[in-house]
Amino acid sequence: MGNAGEPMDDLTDEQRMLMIKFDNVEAFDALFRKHAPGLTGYLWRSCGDRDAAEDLVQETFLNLYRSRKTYEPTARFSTWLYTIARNACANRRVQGARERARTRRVAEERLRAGKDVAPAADGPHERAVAAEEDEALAAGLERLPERQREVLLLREVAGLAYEEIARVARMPMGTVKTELHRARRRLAEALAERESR
Amino acid sequence: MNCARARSLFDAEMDRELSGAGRNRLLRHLDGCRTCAGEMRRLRRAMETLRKSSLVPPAADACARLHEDMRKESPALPEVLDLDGLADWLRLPARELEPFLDQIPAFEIAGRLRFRRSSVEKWIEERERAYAEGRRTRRMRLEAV
Ligand SMILES: [Zn+2]
Repeated sequence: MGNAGEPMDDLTDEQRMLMIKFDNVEAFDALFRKHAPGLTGYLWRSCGDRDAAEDLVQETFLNLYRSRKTYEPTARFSTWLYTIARNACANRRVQGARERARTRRVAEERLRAGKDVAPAADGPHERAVAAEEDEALAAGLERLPERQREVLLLREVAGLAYEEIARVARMPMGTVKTELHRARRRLAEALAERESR
Repeated sequence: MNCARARSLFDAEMDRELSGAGRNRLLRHLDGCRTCAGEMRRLRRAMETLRKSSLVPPAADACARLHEDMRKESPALPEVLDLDGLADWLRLPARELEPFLDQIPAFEIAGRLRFRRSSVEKWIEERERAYAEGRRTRRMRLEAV
């Protein structure tokens, strides 16, 4: 994230949030640019639908803007952000398993059509490799128990610290550690298994 | 360092929490043990794949769309208001405002009455002071009883 030309870079998220409280749009944009990639990735991998994840991120940041006047810097900003997003995601999930099955089908179709794939790939060969890798990844994540998937995504994609994960996912620290330990190994096994086939 | 001990440090190593002598001992073990080195490599690769293919840079117009939504949330209030606009702003039906029209700062243009918001804000501040003063004297009167 180190961009020397950006005057906002030295500020903490909490300081930025206080500036947003006084309607500073630049601080808002800086927070958005910093957190959108991880937050979108976390939501995408949690719910399996990239479009829905991007919508949720927009919604989350709009909610953040709405509640800016009541923000108090008591908790780490990222804990606060991910808690809001996780609740919004859970509310959507309540819509039921049928809906989820439908989004999964759509996701698979998109995958086959070459969408929903890591943006780094550009040539047709790279795109095919990325699509395969992504399919393996989605399958590997799908096979993880819910709690393991959650902890893994919060750590590796969102980049949260252990104590932040404990707060967001409402688990004791010890559980966070053991679940992360298991999740990392399981995913590594799933991907390696896939590769060796 | 034996294999079990080395593997118990993998998570800390991936979280970049190891340093100094502890980390060097782990790295030495990995240099000499193909099984553990392979395991560590698999873990690192998997986490890298997960991160690389999951981070989603926001769409080019994402900020602009947010700004649009934010503007809708709080439409900027015009500096000059008509009677209905003023009533809206003060959260009153317009007819309940009419008895106050000789007090509220206003100006006339093209035969119509208009209100400058900043002037009305000053007038509101006066009323706030008067109200606070009134409350204080009321309380003092109550305490005297
Ligand atoms: Zn070993």
